[in-house]
Amino acid sequence: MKKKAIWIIAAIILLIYFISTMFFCLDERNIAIILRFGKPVRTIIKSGIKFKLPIPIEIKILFDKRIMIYDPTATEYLTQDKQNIVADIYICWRIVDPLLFLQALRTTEIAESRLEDIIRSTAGATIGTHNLSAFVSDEEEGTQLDTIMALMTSKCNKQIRAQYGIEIIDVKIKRFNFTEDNLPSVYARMWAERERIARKYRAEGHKSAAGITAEAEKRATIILSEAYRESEILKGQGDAQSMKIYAQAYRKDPDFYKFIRTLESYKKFIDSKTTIIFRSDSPLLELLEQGPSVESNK
Amino acid sequence: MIISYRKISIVIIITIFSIWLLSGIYVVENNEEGLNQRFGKLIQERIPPGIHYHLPCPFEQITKLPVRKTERITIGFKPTKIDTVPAIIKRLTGDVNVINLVATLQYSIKGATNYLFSAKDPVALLKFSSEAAITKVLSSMSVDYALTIGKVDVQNKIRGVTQKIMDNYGTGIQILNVNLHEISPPKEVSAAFRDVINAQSDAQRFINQAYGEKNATILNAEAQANGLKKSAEGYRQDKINRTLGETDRFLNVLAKYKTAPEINRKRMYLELIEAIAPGIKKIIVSSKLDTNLIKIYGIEEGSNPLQPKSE
Repeated sequence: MKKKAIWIIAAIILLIYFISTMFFCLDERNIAIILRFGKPVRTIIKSGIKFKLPIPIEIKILFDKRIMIYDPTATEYLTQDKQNIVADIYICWRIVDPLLFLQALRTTEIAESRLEDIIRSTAGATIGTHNLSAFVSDEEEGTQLDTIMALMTSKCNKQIRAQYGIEIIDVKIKRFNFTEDNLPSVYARMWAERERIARKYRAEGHKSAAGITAEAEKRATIILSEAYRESEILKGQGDAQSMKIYAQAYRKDPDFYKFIRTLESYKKFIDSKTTIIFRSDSPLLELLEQGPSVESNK
Repeated sequence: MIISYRKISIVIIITIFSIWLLSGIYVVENNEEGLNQRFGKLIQERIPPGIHYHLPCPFEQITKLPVRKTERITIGFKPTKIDTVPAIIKRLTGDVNVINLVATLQYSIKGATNYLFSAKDPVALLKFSSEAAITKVLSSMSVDYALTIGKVDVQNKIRGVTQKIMDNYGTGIQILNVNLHEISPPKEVSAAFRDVINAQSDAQRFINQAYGEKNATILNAEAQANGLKKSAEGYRQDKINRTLGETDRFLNVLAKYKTAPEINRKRMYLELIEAIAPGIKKIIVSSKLDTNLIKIYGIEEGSNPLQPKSE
């Protein structure tokens, strides 16, 4: 009796277990594949509560259907114009056909190693057909980075989607630079360029300064010459005024003017070095020669 | 006894059932957003802050995300003293210069559903996208622009490009801002870059000096010009005053002279002779003397300048 009860309980527990394996919750993040005795029979994409046959018959395998990132190590490439560059690329991908994925790749690790091969060859081919100026350019039209990355994405997709059941959403160049070996020559060029720019700035400074100085000298010359002109005009006015006043005054008696002006000039040019020879019959001395006489009124 | 066993087990079952039911009560905090999945299927999203109820495990599952919280990541590479910065860390600008950039990026979760279900690791994706954005933004800029006036532009463009990439992936991440911490040339060439800045300030200094000298030159010229004008005015006034003085004197003398012209004339003449006579050598020659002797002195006969003119 007791033994029978134990058997019944065991059977119930087993039944509950089997029933519980017949139902499973499929999360929004996942896709499921149902395997019947190891053979894939169904792919379930929509989330919710799902039914399958109990455990030994059917088992489920879950895959993440969200975007995954694969970031291979940075690799050296050669551009079309033979520049050694190193590019760090990442890939966004997701599983779109879990059955194909399961058959061809099984795990994410295997998928990533396959992705690495594909991206290496695609990037090598794509970068190799573009010049460095397609990646870096300060021209008006800009770089072709977006185009190059879109090209790599579509190239990868073409190879991968039908074969492995995964979709490449995006291939992006994270970093891009010259290789370590090339950097010294790049630095030398940068150094020379900076020196040139510094020289240019200084020369421009000197040029502007010289312009300012010349302008100042021009202004100064103009100011001085204008002042000279004005001063000459003023002097001329003075001279003219003076001449007018003299003329007005002396016109009253030109003869007398001549007389006193002459007297004054005598005062000026006769000095101690002068010798004057007087004739004794000169008006000054005629008295001396003739002696006193009454009628001496010339 | 049996009855009481049964009672106790009923009470226990009811208690456990009520606790199970009550475990469906949950609180969405103030800065959070909740979403509800029934058997893994999303049935409700954007559950606002507050107290809510859901069917307890295993029926429904609640996920809460801090949507209004600002998170921060560092992008670019911050070299420390020990690091020798590998080439791949640095960036290339449009004019093929190598520079280094470090920035912080602040973001928050815009849509919890997208954040949870679109990408396996949204934050890693954000970091990668922003790195790609930096490379893209710098690749079409000149190094001078990026290092000087373009800094704000660099920040805005990195933010814009990163946001576009993230929206493309549908990650539900909102980038709030990008702050440049450092944007600098590699230390191998930093001295040359510094010299360019020095050269700019040198140039400015030359110009400022020239302006200073210009002001001095012009002020100097104006001072000289003023002097010139003043002295000319002085000259004019001097001339006029002297003339007025002389003519006044003349007119006064003339007025007096007119009263007795002949006498005054004589007197003035004699006064002059008296004034000049003491200092000079005088030779008096008789009128009967040979005038040839006089010619030796180069004076023509009868041209004695001292002889007053008769009227």
